Amino acid sequence: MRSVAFRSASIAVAIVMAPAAAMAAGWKPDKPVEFLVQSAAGGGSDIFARTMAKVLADEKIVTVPINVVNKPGGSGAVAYSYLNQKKGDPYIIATATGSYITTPIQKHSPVSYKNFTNLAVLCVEDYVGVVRADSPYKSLKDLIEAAKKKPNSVRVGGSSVGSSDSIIEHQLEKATGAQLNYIVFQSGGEVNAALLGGSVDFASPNPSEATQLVKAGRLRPLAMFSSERLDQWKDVPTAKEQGINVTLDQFRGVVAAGGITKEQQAFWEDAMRKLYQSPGFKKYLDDNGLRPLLHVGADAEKYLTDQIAFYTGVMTELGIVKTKK
Amino acid sequence: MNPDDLLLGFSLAIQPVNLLFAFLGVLLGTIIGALPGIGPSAGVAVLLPVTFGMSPVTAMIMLAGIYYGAMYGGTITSVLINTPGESSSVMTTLDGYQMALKGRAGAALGMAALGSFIAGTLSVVLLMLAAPPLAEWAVTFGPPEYFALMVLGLTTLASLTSGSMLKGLVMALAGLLLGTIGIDVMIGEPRYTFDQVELYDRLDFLPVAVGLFAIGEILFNIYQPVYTDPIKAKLSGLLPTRQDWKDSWGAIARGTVIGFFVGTLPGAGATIASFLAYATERRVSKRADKFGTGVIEGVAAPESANNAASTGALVPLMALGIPGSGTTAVMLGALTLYGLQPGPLLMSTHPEVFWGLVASMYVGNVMLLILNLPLAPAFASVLRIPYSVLIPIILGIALFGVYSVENSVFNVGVAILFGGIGFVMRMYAYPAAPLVLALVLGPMLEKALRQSMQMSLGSVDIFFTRPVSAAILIFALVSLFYPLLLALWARRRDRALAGAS
Amino acid sequence: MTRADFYGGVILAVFFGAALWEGLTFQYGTEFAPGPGFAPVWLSTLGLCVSLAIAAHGLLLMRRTERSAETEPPALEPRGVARVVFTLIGLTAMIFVVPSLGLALAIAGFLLYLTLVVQRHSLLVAICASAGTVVFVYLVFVRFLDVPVPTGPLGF
Repeated sequence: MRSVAFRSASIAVAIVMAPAAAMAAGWKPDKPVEFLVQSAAGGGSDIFARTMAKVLADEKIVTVPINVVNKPGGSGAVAYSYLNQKKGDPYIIATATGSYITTPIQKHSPVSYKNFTNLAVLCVEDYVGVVRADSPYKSLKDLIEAAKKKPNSVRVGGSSVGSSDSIIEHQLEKATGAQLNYIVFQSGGEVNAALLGGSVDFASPNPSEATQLVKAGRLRPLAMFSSERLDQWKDVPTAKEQGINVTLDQFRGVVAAGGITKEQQAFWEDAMRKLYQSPGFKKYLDDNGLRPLLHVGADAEKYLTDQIAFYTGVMTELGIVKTKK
Repeated sequence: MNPDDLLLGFSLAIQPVNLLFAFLGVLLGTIIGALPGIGPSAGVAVLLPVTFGMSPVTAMIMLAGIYYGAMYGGTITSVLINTPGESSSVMTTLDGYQMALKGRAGAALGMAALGSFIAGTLSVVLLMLAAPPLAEWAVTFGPPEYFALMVLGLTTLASLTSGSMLKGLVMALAGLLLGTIGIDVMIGEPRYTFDQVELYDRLDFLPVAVGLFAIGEILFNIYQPVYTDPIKAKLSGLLPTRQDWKDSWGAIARGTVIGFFVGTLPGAGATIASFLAYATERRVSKRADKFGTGVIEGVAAPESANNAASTGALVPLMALGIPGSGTTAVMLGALTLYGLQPGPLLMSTHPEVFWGLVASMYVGNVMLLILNLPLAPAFASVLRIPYSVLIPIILGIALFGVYSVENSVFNVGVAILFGGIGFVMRMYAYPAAPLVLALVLGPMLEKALRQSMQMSLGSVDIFFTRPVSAAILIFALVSLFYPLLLALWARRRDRALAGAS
Repeated sequence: MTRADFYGGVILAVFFGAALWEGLTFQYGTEFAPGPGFAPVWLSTLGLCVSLAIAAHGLLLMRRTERSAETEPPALEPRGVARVVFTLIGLTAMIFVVPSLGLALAIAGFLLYLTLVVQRHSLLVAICASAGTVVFVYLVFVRFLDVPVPTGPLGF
């Protein structure tokens, strides 16, 4: 309900803002725009960017060609260093997700969100805790009890330390005092394979990664790590409901180079609002199990600052953030 | 399997629009595969938007065509100019390029096309008959099994070394060490990165391979122009002969089996498959000492294997929704974009996608053969150009290609650096192949070791108590010491014979 | 190649030694499993041993060949070395002009330099080979496959 109200409010904002911004702006891109992606072709961010580029063009929100450019490497460090060289250039925008804040927190990137124009946060992805269907654990509690009885006996699969999986695992340990055995894999696909094959007992993929395996009766969802139950997963209780206060989600958004003019920023922010309202974008969210969430401009920056405070705290506890030698 | 399903598949595959896009897919795939740098996964991703308006079946037919078409195409530059188009074609350069130097490029390319066709078609049969159980088998491979598989891979490195064993060993160690560059995936500590963001995510494999093989070879030719005779043979003389086929069919069969099964494993892939196939061939061959000097089975084995592996990678994708390679990960994303839900239910809820794809792959492999067999002599005719004129052409393609791997000028610098190193290595007889392959194996080996030890809480028993991992490890040990035992045995027999007479 | 083996072994030993030095600063192990330092330390130690073995082997052979008055393998051909060095200098210079000239022009310039100065082809062959190659790869990679490349002052 709240989200519906929120959405209609933002529609209202968009309707009021759009013509005003367009009139005040006067700036419009008149040559091709580069859409930078910080991960390799085919990943979540890449699909996000390519879908956005298509919707922006189809809905004539941006009338010049948009070229998607992948600069993978260093968990975003390569792409954002490149973006930082483009200071003042309004013809480049970039995708941003968790690594946009976690890589700088780990001091693995020379640049952070402060170097850029943070245009918008457009949606968030949730996480669901799953076990194999033949697993003895019927609830998150069972799993935690087992881990408490015999420390390190429950194997948790996830991606590298600092990723959302590792933060969920850490929060579970912190909230319950249980000791889990965390095993790092390279990709979500490998984690799913390890889970099905019995190499690990528990994992926390995005709902979209798990839906079909749950439907086919291969995996059993134990808990959502969202603050409320999700519409498409009505039967799955949140971790909070089970008395384990662990919530996490990850944003997807768009940023631009630093030092662009107010008019240029207004154009892009306006484009993001229009994109958010478009049916094509809504379909993308539905297909990929993403939850809509809109923060634009100063709002987006505030959202990011809050996220950074949260992640810095958790990652310091995890021992990932060290003072540099 | 229900025959009706296959009928449904063929009724879809032979629709003109699907035939057209299957053809476009394999054609584009061949081109993409031939270009160094742009690999199948980038190719599929770049062409993804083209498929947006199509039906999911047509789209998957085209994307899969690009994927296995690229495996054919990768041969071309490996053989002709010693420049691997993809990492899975590196093994092909070893004998393929030597064949080209002997004027037999056409035979190498033709046999690669034939081997790829046979491997591709047989793998589709396996995919069709047994995808679900094979996928179940593939996921039982956990970190200890991958560790064992990588150890097996390492022991076969020895078989790539001709000349000084010490030099081969030191190159392998250097490759393994270079493989540790980058931010450690487990706990995030940067290793040998010197604060270069480009090194955070590991040293890319292709710039190193292109540098050592292609640029190193060019520099050697600039140092000492040797190959001044362009080939003059007639077109018809450029096809494989009956003897070539006799030499190769066993290699193709073994390459297919190895390639397909390794390809189904989500943590291995076409590169490892081509590598194991080549090493196996050298083990079983009667003329093992000739490997690396241009024997045709040294081309047939890895080329069959990488094609079979690309089909094998579709097994976990189609049966479980788990991508078995970088390219199938992109295809997984594509399925989602078409509104399909990849997973164990896909084959029952959308049989047309799976069966249409399977049927189209039979057709597509035939198309590739028809396309590539006549093209083999045509491509081989490139070598009619004098080598000294080819040098700028090869360098231009290689430099652009290396840039396009990650759109990075840094990688071009890496390729140039390794080009210089490759030249020096070539001058002083340090083999490049062990270094390049160790660079691929190293990170996987280290990851699997650390995952396994974490699983077992620090006990090495885990490698020997799991039957599959134990079996592979024992096989690796035997294959390492087998030649030694054989030699000992032969000496004893000789002595016994001498004593008798 | 005995003398060469000795120096080669020494150079490799320095490389592995440096890697070991740096590798010792990484965390060697975690609670249960090898850490990020495990592989670098062991690999560079082994590498160091093998390179020293190569050097020792070379030294041994060097002594023996001196005594038996066998000839060293033919020395480097100075003109060939010069050509290689000039090629590498050209390649390095190319990297530095990419940001200002763009990738296509930089490669074209290098290829012209290579064909004219290093290989001493005729002007016609040089221009055809360089320009032809660059136009071909530019069309394929940039126009057809949409690879984004650094562009120069002329817009490509």
